[in-house]
Amino acid sequence: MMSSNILDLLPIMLTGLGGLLVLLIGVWPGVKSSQPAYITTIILLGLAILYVLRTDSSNPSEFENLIRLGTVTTKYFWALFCLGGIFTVTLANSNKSLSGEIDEIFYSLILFAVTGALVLSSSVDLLASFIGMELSVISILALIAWQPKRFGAIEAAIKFAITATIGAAIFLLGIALIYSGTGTTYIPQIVNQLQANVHSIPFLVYIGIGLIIAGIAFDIAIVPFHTWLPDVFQGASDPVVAFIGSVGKIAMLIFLLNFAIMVQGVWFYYKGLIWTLGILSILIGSIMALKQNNLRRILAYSSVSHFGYVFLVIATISPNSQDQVFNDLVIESAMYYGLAYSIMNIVCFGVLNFLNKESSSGKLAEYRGLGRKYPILGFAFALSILSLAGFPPTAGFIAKYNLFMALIAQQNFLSNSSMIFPLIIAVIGAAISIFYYLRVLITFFNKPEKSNSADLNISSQNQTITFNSSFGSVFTMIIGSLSIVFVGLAANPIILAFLNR
Amino acid sequence: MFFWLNFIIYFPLISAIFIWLGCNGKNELARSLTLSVVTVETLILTFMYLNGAFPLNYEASWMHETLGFNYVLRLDGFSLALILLTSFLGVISTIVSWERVKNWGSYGPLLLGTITGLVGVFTAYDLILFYTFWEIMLIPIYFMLSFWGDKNSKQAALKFIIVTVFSSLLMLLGLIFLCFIHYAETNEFTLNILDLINSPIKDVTAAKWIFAAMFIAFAVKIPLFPFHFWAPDTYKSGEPGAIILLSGAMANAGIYGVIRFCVPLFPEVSSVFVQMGMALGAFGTVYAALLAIKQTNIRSVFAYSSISHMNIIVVAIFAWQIESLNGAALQLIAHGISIAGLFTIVSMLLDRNKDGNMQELGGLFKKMPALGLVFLVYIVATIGMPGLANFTGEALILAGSFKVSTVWPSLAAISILLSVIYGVRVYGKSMWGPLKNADTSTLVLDLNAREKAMSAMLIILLFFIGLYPNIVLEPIHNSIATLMKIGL
Repeated sequence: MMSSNILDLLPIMLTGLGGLLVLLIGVWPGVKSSQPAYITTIILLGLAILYVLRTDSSNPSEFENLIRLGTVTTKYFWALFCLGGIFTVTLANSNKSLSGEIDEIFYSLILFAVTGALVLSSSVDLLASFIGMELSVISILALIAWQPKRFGAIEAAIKFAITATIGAAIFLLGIALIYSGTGTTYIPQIVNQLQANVHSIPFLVYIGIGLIIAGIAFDIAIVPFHTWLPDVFQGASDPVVAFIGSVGKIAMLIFLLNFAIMVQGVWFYYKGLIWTLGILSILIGSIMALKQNNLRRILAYSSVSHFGYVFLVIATISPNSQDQVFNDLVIESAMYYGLAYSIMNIVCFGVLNFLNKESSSGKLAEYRGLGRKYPILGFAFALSILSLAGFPPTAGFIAKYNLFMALIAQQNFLSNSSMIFPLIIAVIGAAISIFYYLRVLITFFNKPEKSNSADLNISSQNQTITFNSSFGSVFTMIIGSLSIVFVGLAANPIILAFLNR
Repeated sequence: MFFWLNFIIYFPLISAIFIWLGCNGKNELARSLTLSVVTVETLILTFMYLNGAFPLNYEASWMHETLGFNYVLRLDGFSLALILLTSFLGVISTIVSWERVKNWGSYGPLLLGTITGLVGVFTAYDLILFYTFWEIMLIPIYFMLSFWGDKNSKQAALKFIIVTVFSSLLMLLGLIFLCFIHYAETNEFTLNILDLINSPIKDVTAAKWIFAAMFIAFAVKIPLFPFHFWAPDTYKSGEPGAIILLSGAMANAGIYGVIRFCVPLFPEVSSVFVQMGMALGAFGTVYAALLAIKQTNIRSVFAYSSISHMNIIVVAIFAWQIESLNGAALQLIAHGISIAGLFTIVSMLLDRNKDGNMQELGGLFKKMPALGLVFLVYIVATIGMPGLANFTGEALILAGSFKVSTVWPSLAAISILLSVIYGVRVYGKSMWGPLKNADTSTLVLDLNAREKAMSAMLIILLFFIGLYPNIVLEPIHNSIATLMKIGL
């Protein structure tokens, strides 16, 4: 690995130093509104995306053994995280209940959280990953509690703070144990030290890696560390939830994939553990989602079960070098799932963000008939929900198909592996998920409580007016819906890029 | 011609999106547009059918190197006949719900989306593409069944979708397994059906499981005994327009899947399964006919009658003789038209505030002679009167099946006798006898122009196919001959 030049860090600098710049713009004398800060944020993230997309991803380089730059993963997912940041700020800007309450601090927090996600997703050192994780988690914590007067905001923030702190502590203990066991925090060296160094203490390292998996599971919200997620989804404002689901969790997922590949020599010890976590997540997530009457809680529990599917696949990473093809398939399918989930989540919460003026509590009954009232919104929402449920030809279906394929491919690549049980669990989970997703759609497209055609006509005329005043939501919905279909139909180049990382 | 092949699939879907986005609250415009779209579709398909514009092949690379599936379409006579029926039933369904549905801005797009899914199912020649269309056809019909219909429709529709989607997911797993086993045996990563048929997998245990997964998914759709439990409820409580599509066109997709995929992909497993399959079909057809006699609601009678007629086709498939397959195709078309007719009757009664409970019906012939006459034709067709479409199909099915086994066709033939019983019973209870009190006082109108036009179309078709079955048998001849190369 060659050492990289400082320019490769430009996206991180743009977002990290850009956050400080945005704060500065906010207190600049004579600036009365938050508009300049908003514009600056968009420009910074846009520049970061442009820079990331034009980097050459053929020769990866490491920066000070802390983060790895210039890989396909960083290229695509850094762009995705910056895009998520753009979507979040545009959503926040068009949110009815947040209007007038957003200032430069909000924007800078988003920028810092994006910085954390960038660092976390590309880290090759446990300390760098810890820094990235904390940076994004603490920013998100402040964002969750953004409007303290809002019902549930403080509750959600406190729950998130406690669980995130515990997760971070566990993660840090894992780092400490690994360091004391091997004398290094540089992830690719951990397994080498275990095998080559006589002074290494394998027992501590195994426990340490287990603790790190637990810390990651806290952040991705895998059963049994998922309890914060529904409350946060319910209590935080829509843009922030969109950000958590589409950037925070995905960054952690990418780190987990990097971590798994780098320690693949000992990964198979954790296969049973990770499968258990995945199966529990699928079942408990799906079953709990059935019982909810709040759309946000349904989406939260469904998110838990979605990442359970990914865990089923990640568990199967094989230590043998001749299984490299299979490992590539696994990583590719998990990455694609993360990408697809990110888009679907953004669209879902873009829709909820638009409907904020109709219902802010997220109770399912309040959304009754809104799909008929706003046809474009209904179309986008139906598309994202069907994609979450895994109906073809959306991105969600291709993602599920990919996962099933990676699970089933084991029989061709790995000897004596039993994938039937997880597969059956996955199918049962998918079947249960259809229940609650369709329930959401049915509510959404049901006849409104007191429907008369005149009312419908008025609302359809009003639609253009409201659309102009909520540009962010509509922008997100349209771009996101197109991406759901497009990422599904044209998955080939994306998957090829992920395969040849 | 390739343009037309894609056009007949996507034209309804694209129109549906435009209608959904543009006709919010404009009921009349939406329904007119819907009717125009399905009519144009039907006319194009009729033109293709009568000019013999098939077989058409279209292949485009899609995700071959990563996920193994391509965009492969193929249209032969058998597919085209079923597509034409589907599209025609779409027209009938639109006319049936013309007055009753008040929300064409959402109902029309859903109907068109269903038609797109069905047309795709009948043309897709790649397993995952097939699965894609298979799911596309489920979603819209689920909403049609759920939002329109009586008060139990939501429950029934949920039952329907859970059963179908769960079985579809199992089928998806089966398809991926099939792809990988095929890859392990031939080193060729493909889901193209022709490639898979040319080299059937040799791993018998796996083949059995995959066959089971696919067969159950299709059996749920047919609905084959014992996977028919969702059907009576759904048929009883759904909107008749949606039920016409569901029973007349979508059930065909199940039969089509068995004929086109299940048997050719796994010839050895199928040959072991012959007696079992025929037994299931024969038992199902008699069972459903017996239950049809016991029903007290017109719609339930028709539902069980439909199940009975679809089950007899399964007997024909597993006999796998040239006559029985021809008969199966004819029976599919005939059953589609006659069951659509019966559900138009249900719909007309529903328009006159009768939900089909036989206790409340009676003597309607006096009030509505035209409806009584139309109803009589459908009933007689369902019973299998020579000269109407169903008779030819049933005769061919039984003639072909007797070559393979004597027991099961004999058992299945009992259902024809039973169909006379329930047909006459349901007609007598509703049309003859004394008028019920409710009808003597209220004004009961006979058929209006819309209903007459619709009935005329159906009746002409029933007679035409019954008297000149070659209109169906000639175009499908090559497809059946190709299928017969696979001996069971």
